Amino acid sequence: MAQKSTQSARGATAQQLNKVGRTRMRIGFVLMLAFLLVIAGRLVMVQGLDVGNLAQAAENQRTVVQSLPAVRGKIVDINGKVLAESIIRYNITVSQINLADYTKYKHRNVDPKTGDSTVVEYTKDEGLQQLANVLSMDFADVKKKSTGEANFNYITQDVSPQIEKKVAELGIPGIYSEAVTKRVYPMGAVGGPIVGFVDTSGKPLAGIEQTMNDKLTGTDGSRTFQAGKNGIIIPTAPVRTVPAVDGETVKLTIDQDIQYYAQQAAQQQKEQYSAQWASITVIEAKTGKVVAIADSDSYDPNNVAASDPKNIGSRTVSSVVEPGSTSKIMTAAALVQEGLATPMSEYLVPPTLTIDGQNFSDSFVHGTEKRTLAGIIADSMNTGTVMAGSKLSLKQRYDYMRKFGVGEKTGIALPGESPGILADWSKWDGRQQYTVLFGQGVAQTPLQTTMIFQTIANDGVRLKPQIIDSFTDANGKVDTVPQAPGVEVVSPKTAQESRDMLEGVVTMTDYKVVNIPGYRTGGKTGTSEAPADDGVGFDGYTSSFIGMAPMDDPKYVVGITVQRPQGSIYGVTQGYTFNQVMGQVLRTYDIPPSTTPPVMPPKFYKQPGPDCENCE
Amino acid sequence: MAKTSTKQSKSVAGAAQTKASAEPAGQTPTSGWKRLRGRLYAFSGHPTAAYYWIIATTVTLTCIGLMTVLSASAAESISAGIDPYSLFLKAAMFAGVGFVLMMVLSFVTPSLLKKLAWPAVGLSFVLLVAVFTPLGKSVGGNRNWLNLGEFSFQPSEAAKLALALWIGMVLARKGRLVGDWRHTLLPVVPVGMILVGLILLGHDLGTAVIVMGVVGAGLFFGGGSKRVLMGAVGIGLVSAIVMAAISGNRTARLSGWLGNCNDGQGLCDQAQNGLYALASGGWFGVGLGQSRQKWSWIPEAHNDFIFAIIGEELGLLGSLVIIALYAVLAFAVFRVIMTRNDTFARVVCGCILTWIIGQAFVNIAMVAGLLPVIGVPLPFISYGGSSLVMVLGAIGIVLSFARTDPARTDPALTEPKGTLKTT
Repeated sequence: MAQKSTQSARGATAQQLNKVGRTRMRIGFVLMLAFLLVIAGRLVMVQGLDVGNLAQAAENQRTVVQSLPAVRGKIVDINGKVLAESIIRYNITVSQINLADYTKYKHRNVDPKTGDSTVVEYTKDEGLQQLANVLSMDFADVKKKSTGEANFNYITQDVSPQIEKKVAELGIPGIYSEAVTKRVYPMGAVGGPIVGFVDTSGKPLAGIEQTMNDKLTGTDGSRTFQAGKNGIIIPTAPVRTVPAVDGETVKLTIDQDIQYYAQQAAQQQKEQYSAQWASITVIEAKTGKVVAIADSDSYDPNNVAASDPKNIGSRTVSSVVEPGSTSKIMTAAALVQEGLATPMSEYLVPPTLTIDGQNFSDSFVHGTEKRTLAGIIADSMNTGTVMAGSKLSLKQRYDYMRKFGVGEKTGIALPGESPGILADWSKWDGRQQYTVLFGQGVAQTPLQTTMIFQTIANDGVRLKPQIIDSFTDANGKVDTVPQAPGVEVVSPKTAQESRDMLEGVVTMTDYKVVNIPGYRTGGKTGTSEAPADDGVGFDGYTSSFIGMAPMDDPKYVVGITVQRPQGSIYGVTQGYTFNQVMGQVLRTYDIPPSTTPPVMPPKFYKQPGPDCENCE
Repeated sequence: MAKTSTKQSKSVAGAAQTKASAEPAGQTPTSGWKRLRGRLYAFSGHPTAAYYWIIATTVTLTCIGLMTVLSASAAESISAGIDPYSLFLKAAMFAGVGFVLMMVLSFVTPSLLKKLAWPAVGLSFVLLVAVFTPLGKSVGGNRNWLNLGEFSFQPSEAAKLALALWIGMVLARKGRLVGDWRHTLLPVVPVGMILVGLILLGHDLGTAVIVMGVVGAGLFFGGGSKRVLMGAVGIGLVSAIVMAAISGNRTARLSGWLGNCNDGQGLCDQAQNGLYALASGGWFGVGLGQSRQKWSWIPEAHNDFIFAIIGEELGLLGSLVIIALYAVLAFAVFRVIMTRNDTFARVVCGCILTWIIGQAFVNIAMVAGLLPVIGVPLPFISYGGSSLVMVLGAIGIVLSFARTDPARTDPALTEPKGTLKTT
């Protein structure tokens, strides 16, 4: 009994003990399950419901958008010769921090013959010495640039891909390269003011680079990928690539060879006469296409800094000068068009003409002469031009000049074009109303003056000077620029008679310098006083000659302007230069020689005709 | 051996089944909880089935762990220029060693385990002290490693297992005396404090917290004095906070957790990227091996933050499966404890269960942003030889309880079982 009670006491204790333990075990187990439930609930919130939108934040953190730069389009001449293009160059850079981590590094040398590789260990200085050798730099300079606390520094900039490859092969830790595109102009100063240039950041600052920037600029592409914290592309994450669309190639109507020739000629003219500047423009008469726009002192777009900023634009489109006698052909054409005269209309021209109290004389001394209109033009008589032109009303004078394009921009795709200066006829003073008839009191750009002659050459239809031939996009699709519709200024008949008078300038005067063997030529000289730069009075002259050929069917117009030539004005001539440039153009384009005899309109009349005016 | 175990299981299972079926029919037909429990027990099979549940969940978790270690470590290994399989192969080797240890320990009888308890604690102490000799080494500010040439070893992991065994042995031997506060305190608390102190000296707060938890759980499950337990909980909390406050490394982690990311140590960044990984996983994950955050965004992704990678690759579904596996493991161990119904088994298994589930909770809660970043590995899954081998060893001990009958293996416990039968 005693034993049994002891036993049961022990049993009861053990049982009691186990009961406590079992209860606590259950509590413990439930607690554990509760803890597991808590984290499960938390995971539902974090993962399933994504409270806080962390998945997006994570993706944003990993996402790297890399720009794939589009290559700027080329500028080429009419024959496809490259005037401007972008090439890849490299900057050699250093992470000074990364380089500092290595006092020595291992480099694998591969024997080019056997293909065996050996691992060599170089010190940092040995590596930098190798780098200096490859870059042709001073070791001390390389060492200085690569030592410090910076994570990025340039060792040198603008090295060729070949050099960059050699640098990469050195395998120096912390030395990197970055590719940059560089705009280069293989033809240098040839067409420099036309092509223009971009600054180091790629911003276009002049020429076609500026006006055609939208076409030349491509659309940058992008590569979007996810990267590890150390920059490694995560291979399992999607990569989205939007390819870059390169810029379009702009094909100019410029012929680089003619351009070069014309530029040489302009430069020669400028220097021969110690002039301020000279300009030569070559236009295709039937299309208005610009074959060349040559300015003296053309700059090299590769090295703009070396050039006088005044030479940056093209003076042919931006400088205005008084055209002088070249304008007389407008007066003559207007008279013929209005039925007020023919080339053979007769005028008794006095030595000096006084009209409305204004006196006009000519550059040569003469008595009272029986002149035809052709004769007045041929010898460039101010007196005769005023006598004939005064039949035009002031409004007609103004309207014809406007129709010939004076006072408005030609619309050529070059920056900084000037519209010229032509005051409204109602504001003309007593003298100006007559001087505009022979090209004074009005200002034009050399290009505008040349386009007046293009109008005459093209049967009276003035075209817009076209300098862009076509665009070629990155896929090779060619988009040819259509000829803009022209303005009919005078009738083809008037144009023909005007051309006859222009040919008379060459055939009927002492101005025999204009002579391109085999071709009939015509043109008009112009000399005017150049308004002083300060606007007070006149300072020097503007001397010009605009001509066309062949006269049986004019194909090309060449305009030459020389500003402020020094020395005697009578010794200045653009005739020889015209012969050279026009001759070069005609030969280059295989223009067949003239087959018809030259027109030789008489300068004088013998007996007063029935419609003679002012005839005694 | 297998035969014997089947026979035993039948008898125990029979008892449990009768009990489960008798209760609802008898006094409390409306007790929903008991009915639910009965159904759960019926579903999980014979009480011995727990043996297989434990093995199944353990092996599954370990294999998922190996798989994820491969995925998480490969990216970093490649970046570091080493064999992408190196860490995976090491982990696989440790898993192999761990499985062997698990099976070996599952054949050790409880009486032998009791004999091993003192030497185990002694060895743990020696090893923990050895950490502070030139043999030791520091990893990430924590000096809790022994350098063994090719490999290194974390004595604190072994200490957890040794303590579990030792506390079980001591408390089982005390019998009913354990309810007295003096017996609750001595000798468990001083010994535990010494070991915890050594771990804290190595600045490993995470492991120290787990060890404290294990000691507390042992006293709790062993029937220790309530007053002591309450006091211990209070002291534990206070000391954890104090430790966190005085250790610079910990302070930074804590302030990072509290929203101050300017710690300069990237800890907040690590926590943030862990959350990013979990969120990126969404419901179904980005796919095995396809984690993005493992690409250097989460430092040491194969280690303490491996759950983030699982969550990202396998999604909420995968995360919940992991948690469910821990729950199933906990249930199976719980059944072993309830079936065995002796103090030694309950304390040892309860300690082990607290250790595994506690660590899993702390680790996942840390990754999920519920707790500050403290270095506690995810049992079975995180890379780490000592941790994996010791956890598998601990499971082996649980298995040894699962596959044996207390009456046959431990004569001291025959009596309480007999008493149970007579009631």
